[in-house]
Amino acid sequence: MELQAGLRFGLGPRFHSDWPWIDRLRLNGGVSCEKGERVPLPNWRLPTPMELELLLAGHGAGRWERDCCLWRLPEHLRQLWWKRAAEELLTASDQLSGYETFLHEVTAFARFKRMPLRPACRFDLLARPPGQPTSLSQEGESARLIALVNLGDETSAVVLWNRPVRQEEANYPLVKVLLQPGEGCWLPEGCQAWPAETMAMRDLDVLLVIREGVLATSRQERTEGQTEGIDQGDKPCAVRHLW
Amino acid sequence: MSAVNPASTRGPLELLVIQPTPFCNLDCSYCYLPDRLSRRRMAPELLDLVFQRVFASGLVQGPFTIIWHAGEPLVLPPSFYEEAIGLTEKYNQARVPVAQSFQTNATLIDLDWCAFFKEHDVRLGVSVDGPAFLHDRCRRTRRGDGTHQRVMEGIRLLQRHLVPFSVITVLTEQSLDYPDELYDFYCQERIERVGFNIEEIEGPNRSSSLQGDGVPQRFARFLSRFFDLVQGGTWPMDVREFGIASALKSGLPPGPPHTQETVPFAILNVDCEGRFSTFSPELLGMSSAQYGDFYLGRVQEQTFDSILASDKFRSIEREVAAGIRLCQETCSYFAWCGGGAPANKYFENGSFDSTETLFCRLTKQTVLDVLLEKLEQASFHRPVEAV
Repeated sequence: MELQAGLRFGLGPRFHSDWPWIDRLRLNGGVSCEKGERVPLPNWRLPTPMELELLLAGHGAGRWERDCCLWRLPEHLRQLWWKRAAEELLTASDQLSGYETFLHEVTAFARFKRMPLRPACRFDLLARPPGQPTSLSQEGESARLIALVNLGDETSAVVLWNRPVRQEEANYPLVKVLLQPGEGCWLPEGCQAWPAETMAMRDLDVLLVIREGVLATSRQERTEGQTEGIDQGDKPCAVRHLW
Repeated sequence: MSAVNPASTRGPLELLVIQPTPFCNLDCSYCYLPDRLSRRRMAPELLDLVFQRVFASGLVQGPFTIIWHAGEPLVLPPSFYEEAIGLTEKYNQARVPVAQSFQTNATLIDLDWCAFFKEHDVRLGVSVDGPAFLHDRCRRTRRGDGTHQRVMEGIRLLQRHLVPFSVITVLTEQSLDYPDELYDFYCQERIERVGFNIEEIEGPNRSSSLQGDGVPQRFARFLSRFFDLVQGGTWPMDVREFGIASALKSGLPPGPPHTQETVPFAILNVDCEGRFSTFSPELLGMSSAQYGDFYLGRVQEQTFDSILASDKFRSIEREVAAGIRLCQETCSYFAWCGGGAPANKYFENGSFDSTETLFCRLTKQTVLDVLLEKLEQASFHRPVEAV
């Protein structure tokens, strides 16, 4: 199937990137069904000029509420993650002060950039070793995906369809968006994305996943399976990590 | 109310601004300097006369700084400045400390310059507007090419040869969205001393991108964010605008603050032809419907004190003093500012005898407001000492 008009991609307002979209986007031939799961076909390629025109927002400038917007966590915050927070999360430590500090700084940054980060949102860490395939499943996840950002040291990626795809449209192309360290995607309502495969990676792929959450009114109101909540108000309300 | 600057207060000299050449090898969009294509240079005999006049004038009563400015100083070879330093020493009989200062675009720095800077303990300022995507918006060659790569090569050469320098970044409206990116740039490039200038309305530049609605608020947000980044970060960054924060903790000093630009002959500006002026260096080479130009005389024909009785000088001095009095009477920031910069008043308001400008709203008022807010926040969160 040919790519059709749908979700557009652009640079988030007040962000900058030197990497051309033509080098950042890939399309494939759709999905196959393996053991009941949809798996992206591996025939990734560069978009044609016409496809690029369908995919890019006007002049490459995105709008948060409408487009899939590229944004970038500043390097000092990505370093804060690795220096203060990573060890806590990756060793499943009970102490999360570094991670809380990191998330506080991320929200302060997002607030400065006037990103539409709502007061109640949930931050998850997704850390995957090299050699993992893409999984297009949504097991047990009902909260809307807002954004993902690459905290790792290598280029990562997310995959998504630029429009709703029916089961029988297995050969409608997926779009892969490459994300350099610190880069992320901000997704409008109704858009779903998945972390791409880590086959070619050498090191751990670490994504910060931001979803709509439920505001916890006190540190005692924690649901089982989640780690300690953070302060109420306009700060992130809960953290957990996923493997 | 008595005048802040009575007519008898002239000097002492604090800053000697000398234009070695008007030429600049770049064509930055916000630059106010006229004649940047002119390759005229100050003749050796004129250079000699300038220093002879300066040290004989009575204006030199203590340490002062010579800043080579109003063109790209590195266009002339180090030998030009070696000669100038020699002349300084020749006429400086009282052995007053004289600092040499250069503000450069850093595109012409080489090993010879590194050696010169180190040998003479030069106070070096480098103009760089942050990462390439910000810097190359305005700081371009005459062909329209960006200059960031060349500037960074110059900076890295300075760093490899342990030549200390500070950075001046000009903030435009676009810059205000990128404090984190600027902070990352300074940290990654290991830049320790930063000063922020703004895109000013001066000379041929009749407008600034910072004139738009909402800019003061965005400027405040920028400064506040940058302040937090510096305070919370591990890279030892000295930001000029935040330098007075520690002084503010003990309260503003009594009496009007000292401002070089408003004291006659605290700053002396000399162009490559020997024409001289005082007050703001930005007035050098500018024209005026009221005054013709702002030159007060020529070094070849007059001594500095011989022009004190001239109608032109007295008229400018009166008008500058009147503007300062107006500021003192009407502005709640006067104790911090001291009456503004005459050049900005003239170019923005059309007269020295005026008050508020875009320049002072941003670089004085907003800066002070942000710093006071930070101090109040710090005081609020300080643990209460046990009684």
